Amino acid sequence: MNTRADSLQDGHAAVERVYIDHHGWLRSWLQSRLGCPEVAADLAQDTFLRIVARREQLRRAPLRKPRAFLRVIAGGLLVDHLRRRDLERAFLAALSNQPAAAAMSAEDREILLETLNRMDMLLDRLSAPVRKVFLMSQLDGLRYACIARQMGVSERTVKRYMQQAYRQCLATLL
Amino acid sequence: MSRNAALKHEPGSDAVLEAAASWLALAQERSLDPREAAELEAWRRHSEAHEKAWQAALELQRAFKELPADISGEVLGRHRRDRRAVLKSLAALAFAAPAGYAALLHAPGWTADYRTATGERQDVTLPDGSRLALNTASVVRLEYSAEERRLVLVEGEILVSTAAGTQPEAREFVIQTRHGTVRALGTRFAVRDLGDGRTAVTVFEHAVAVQPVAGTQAHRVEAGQALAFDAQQVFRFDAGDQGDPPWTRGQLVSSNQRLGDFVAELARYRPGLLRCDPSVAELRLSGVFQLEDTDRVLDLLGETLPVRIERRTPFWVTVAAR
Repeated sequence: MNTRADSLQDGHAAVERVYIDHHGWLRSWLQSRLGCPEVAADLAQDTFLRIVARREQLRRAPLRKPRAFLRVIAGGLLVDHLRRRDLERAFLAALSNQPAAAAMSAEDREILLETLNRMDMLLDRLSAPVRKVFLMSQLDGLRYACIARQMGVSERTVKRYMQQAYRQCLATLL
Repeated sequence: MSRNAALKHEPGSDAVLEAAASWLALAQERSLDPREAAELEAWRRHSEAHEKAWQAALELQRAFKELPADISGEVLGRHRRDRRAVLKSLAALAFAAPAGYAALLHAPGWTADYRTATGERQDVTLPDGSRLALNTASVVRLEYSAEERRLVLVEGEILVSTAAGTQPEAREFVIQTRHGTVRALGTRFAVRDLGDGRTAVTVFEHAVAVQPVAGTQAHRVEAGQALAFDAQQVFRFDAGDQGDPPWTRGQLVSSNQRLGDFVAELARYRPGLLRCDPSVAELRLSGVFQLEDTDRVLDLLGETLPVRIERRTPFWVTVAAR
């Protein structure tokens, strides 16, 4: 009877155990990487939210190395956090370089930043040359021949890079 | 339809993605000729999955077209941290050096924190009589044990003067940073986390031994010398003037320094964003500046150099051409 509710209970109990045993450690580990206690607390919280989502697996197979596991998940979140922070800094710096940006409303800026953030996530997994070629084509509107000259590669390579970039972006979108 | 056939026609399946990407790459370069256009048309009509992938592709192109090119180019094309390298460095510290930095930060036992806010400085006398000065935005954790006196520099910059008390202190004095250790050999020295993946050490008296986390040997740094190191290796670093660093007196001293470098240094002492326009970054300046009032320092720049201080908000300041 009631096995589904029971197993849910057990799943929560498993998460709770991991939380009690390792939350303090995870926070100080993150803080040592970030130096900022508030962000460390947020990321630790996010890490456990991910784990709550996996409570069913956790119930069936308890973690053998909980801290190694937490480190892997928290590490991914940390890298994302650093990416977003770098993006915001670059955005502020770019805005202050552009006289036109002064005329933008705060709302427009927020929307632009969020759009850029989404694009940035799409581009994050591309290798540096592929990303560069893709941006030259999409943002600067350069032709493949021109990009090929600037990058010192063949036009065929440029086309291959473009195809690779589109493919990765679409894979993330779909 | 069988399950396999259905999978093959998912919008996200490899074959569909590959075909959509190939069409996009072609259409981006030139207009399709009538035969190609008809082929694309047929491909799209072939299945719902094809059409859906093509719509997503058009969406992607539209999104990029609507972005302002200059700002977006600067932001999306910025220099990036290598994702894998960051993850690897986390793993290396966590697994290869369990007794190192990571372990120390949460080791049980007697620990204490010293912390300064941006623009703040603090002088501390440690339990053994050693003196510690913390520069702006710095965090230090104290790990004294029976075997050694260990300070963990979590971030920022410190000046250490080890105690030369009446009784000889047998315990070693060690500074731990995220990149390695600096072992004092009876001495006075400054340690700074440069924030770019390296630590810098400047020695004023006697000597220290520097050991990167993953390095195989220690490097001795004598009085009047400096070096920087990351987790693997050491780098040359300019020792600058002799005598205590000016920040311990609340000063910023520059001698024929690039304005760009000066502004970057000044930014450490101010909350918010302070930047220097590249068009004036090569100007040179010399002087002694008081850090307690960084706004006054900025005004001085405006009075003595052909630059203008743009204050969009108190937290967003640009040094620009006049």
